[in-house]
Amino acid sequence: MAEFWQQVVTGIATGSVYGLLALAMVLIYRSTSVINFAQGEMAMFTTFVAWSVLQWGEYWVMFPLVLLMAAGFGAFIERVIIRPVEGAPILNIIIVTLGMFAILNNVATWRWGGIPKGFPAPPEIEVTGVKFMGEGALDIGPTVVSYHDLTILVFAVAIMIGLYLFFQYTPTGLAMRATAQNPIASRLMGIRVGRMLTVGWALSATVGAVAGLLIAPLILLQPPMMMGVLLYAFAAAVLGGLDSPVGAVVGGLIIGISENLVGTYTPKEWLGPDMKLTVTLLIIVVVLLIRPTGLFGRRALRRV
Amino acid sequence: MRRITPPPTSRLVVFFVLVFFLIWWVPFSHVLPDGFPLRFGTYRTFQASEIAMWAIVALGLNILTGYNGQISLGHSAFVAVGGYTAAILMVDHGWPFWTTIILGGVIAGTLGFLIGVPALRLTGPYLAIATLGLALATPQILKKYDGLTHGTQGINVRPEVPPPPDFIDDWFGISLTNDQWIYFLALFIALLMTILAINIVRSRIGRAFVAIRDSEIAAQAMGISVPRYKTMAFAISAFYGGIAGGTYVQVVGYVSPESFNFLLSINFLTTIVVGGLASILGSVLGATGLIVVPELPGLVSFIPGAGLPDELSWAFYGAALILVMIFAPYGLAGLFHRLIRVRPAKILGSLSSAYGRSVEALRSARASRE
Amino acid sequence: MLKVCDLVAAYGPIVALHGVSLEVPEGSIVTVLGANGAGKSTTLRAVSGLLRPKSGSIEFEGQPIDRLSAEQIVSLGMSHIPEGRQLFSELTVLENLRLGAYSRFAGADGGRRPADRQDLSALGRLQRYLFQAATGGIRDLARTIREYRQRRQDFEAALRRVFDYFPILAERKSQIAGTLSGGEQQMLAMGRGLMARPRLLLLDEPSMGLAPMVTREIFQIIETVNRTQGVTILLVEQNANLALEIAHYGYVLETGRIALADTSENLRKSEAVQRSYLGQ
Repeated sequence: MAEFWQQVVTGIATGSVYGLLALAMVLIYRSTSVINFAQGEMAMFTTFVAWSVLQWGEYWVMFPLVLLMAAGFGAFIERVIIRPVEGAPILNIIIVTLGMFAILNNVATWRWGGIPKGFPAPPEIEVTGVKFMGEGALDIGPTVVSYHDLTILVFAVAIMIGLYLFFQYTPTGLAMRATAQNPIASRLMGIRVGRMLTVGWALSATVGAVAGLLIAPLILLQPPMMMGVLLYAFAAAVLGGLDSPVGAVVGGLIIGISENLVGTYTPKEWLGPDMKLTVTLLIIVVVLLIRPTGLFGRRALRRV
Repeated sequence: MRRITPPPTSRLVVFFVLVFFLIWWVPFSHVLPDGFPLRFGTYRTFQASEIAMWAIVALGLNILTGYNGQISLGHSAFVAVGGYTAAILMVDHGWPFWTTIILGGVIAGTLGFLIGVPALRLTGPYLAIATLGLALATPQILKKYDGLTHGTQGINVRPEVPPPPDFIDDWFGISLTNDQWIYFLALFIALLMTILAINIVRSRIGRAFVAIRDSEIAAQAMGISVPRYKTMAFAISAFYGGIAGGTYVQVVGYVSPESFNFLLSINFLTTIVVGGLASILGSVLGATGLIVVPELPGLVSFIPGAGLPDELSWAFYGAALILVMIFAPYGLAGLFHRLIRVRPAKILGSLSSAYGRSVEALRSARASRE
Repeated sequence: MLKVCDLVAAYGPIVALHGVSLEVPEGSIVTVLGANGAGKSTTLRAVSGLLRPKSGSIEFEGQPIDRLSAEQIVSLGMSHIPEGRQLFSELTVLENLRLGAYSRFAGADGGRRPADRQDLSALGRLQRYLFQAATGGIRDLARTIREYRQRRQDFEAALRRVFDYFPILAERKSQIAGTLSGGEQQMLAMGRGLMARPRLLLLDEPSMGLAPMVTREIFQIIETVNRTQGVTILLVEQNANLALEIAHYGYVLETGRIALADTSENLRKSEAVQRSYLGQ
């Protein structure tokens, strides 16, 4: 039984990372209907830059700096690379993101490639005697949870809530939702559609950067590190419904947990850990057949 | 745009140049000196076969995605099915190669139909992820059921691949090397599949596909059975994938679970978008680009002084993709049409769709931004 | 208030307007009539900045606007209620109205017109920015809070006025816009347009797809808005009868050119109009 809970807990941790990256993808999809295949590589890139910054700065100095830089990076990509193809069919824009994938991956390998590097987890902070984050683990019932895993979960949930509040209750959030639904009407409201898109990409890059910073301590920092995560993140985003931030995180958790459980508890002869990915994807396909736009997705309404 | 149809003579010239290049250049260019880039030695001939092979997949995928509007990221699975069927039949059961290719296509096509049925429920990115799942699952399944598939070691088909048949020597008086023979085989199959594709696309079936892509509801109102044609499109494009898989077995001589991973699927999609959606020519151009573009940095370095560090060739490829999308939203086929000034009505006719309209929107948006 | 001179507009290679000239005097209701495809919607789109004209000039309150973008034009005090309403159908009624007020109350410009900024040279703007940054801090914060409160009040006032005109919208505040009836949607579209307190309102076929009674109601409200608030109105309509009833002046557009221009009285009496558009 303890084994079961341990698997669940580990699943929650990895699931939170998938959820974070999925959140970044959902941000862009919501505002532009584009699936950003370069999301993982962008996160990997910013994490490498973070590593460089860490050579002369402390973690909590680096953190906000990298987030800011990621926002700028995202904005830059939107203005320079995405803007020229904005009105084109979605597939064209997706190909552009694939192109970015290739560029970022290649450049990162060329610049930082070779030996995988270690990357620290957020160091411990003490607030009124209570420890947050840092190395080490906590005993909860029959399982052992590392502080870092908790950190990831907390970040994922906090960002999810933050984004939800942002979209529901701020004027800019509202404007971004409007832009995603009807760019023409948005312009007539005085909304600078281009600027909303830039903000969307900037936000997305920032969330992705956080995902990268949090996962790097778990898997070594190396150029291919986000590729596997990207697939799971895409799956999580779709599972949850591509236009739902809540769905992204929930989808991530579900995938994280079921991946582990499938790996451990299915008969090894005809399933077992080799087929983890397959079974997970099968689950997603089944869910999609029941709810074709994902668990929390909404865009089913199509006016003729 | 000026309404100019190129006069018949220049079309004939283009045709003959093409025929010359495709058929004569390959066997005879080896008389050229060794370093010359266009000399078709073994490797280049292999690449030419690759282009033929991937063109077949591109044609099939374009029928599904370009003409019918269903996005599939799972076509590597169909190629795998075709390839493995062919390989197993040849190696384990000694079947002649051409039947294995056909059977590979048929089995893949059946799988495609089976996938097409649940795919009716899904659209856009949701369909993409489901098909991507298929592509991701395929290597794992192939590795797992190694009783049938020989598992991770793959199947070495080389010994079974027949050498050029004797009639070539008798009829044409030249002896072809193995890879040259395989190139012609692949070319022949690709040509057959292209003719088939042209026929499908111009028939009622093709028109039904396009109608469904542009508006399912309107198509239904016109009496087109949407489920029937959508699953048909899947089956046809999977059939193409299977044929390409069977051809792959001949060209490469070896299949393994990792030969057909999801990256291949993504490459296929890139191929048809860059080549030109809903365009036969686009499928072929895209397949050509897929093989040729990664070679370009190498070719450029043939000129002393120019060149890109080797490690960055993928970055170059990525940049090329982006640039093509920015400057040729209709793909390479669109560029080509613009270059030879085909009548505008013809472009709008064959590409007229939500796709075409949104590209027009892009153009007028750009124009009104001046 | 609005002066359009020799406007030529096209969609790609297709020319829709072949030199259209019209004038909308302040405080009046001017209508543009014509058959489908005559270019009426195109004219409005060119005026509101959605379509960049090929040539010709458009002046709003003496200021040339033909080179400005739609977003900038909106903040100048012009509201365009487009053909087919173009609501944000997945957002609520209230959210749609809030968005209507965006250019005035919520946007980055916060009501400050782009015109205010353009008169400074780049150096001047840099100077002002540095000055603000240097002395900013607390003073800015206080001002921001004050501005925020003021904006809030203005917003509430505008909202109340819209609800006065369209009480049904108040009832359906939290309903998703896409689920409203046709008439309610048109009311929401107009309410949204009015939230920005425009001085010029561009209306594109408000009667489209609506039942006659609802249409009458809407036209009455248009007339009221013009009379009580002094909002100038440029109304594009196919329903010539209703349009000429409330308009002061009218233009008839035919295949991209002005065919007739006269007071609405004269147009109503004119035989040509009677035959072609009033079904007599």
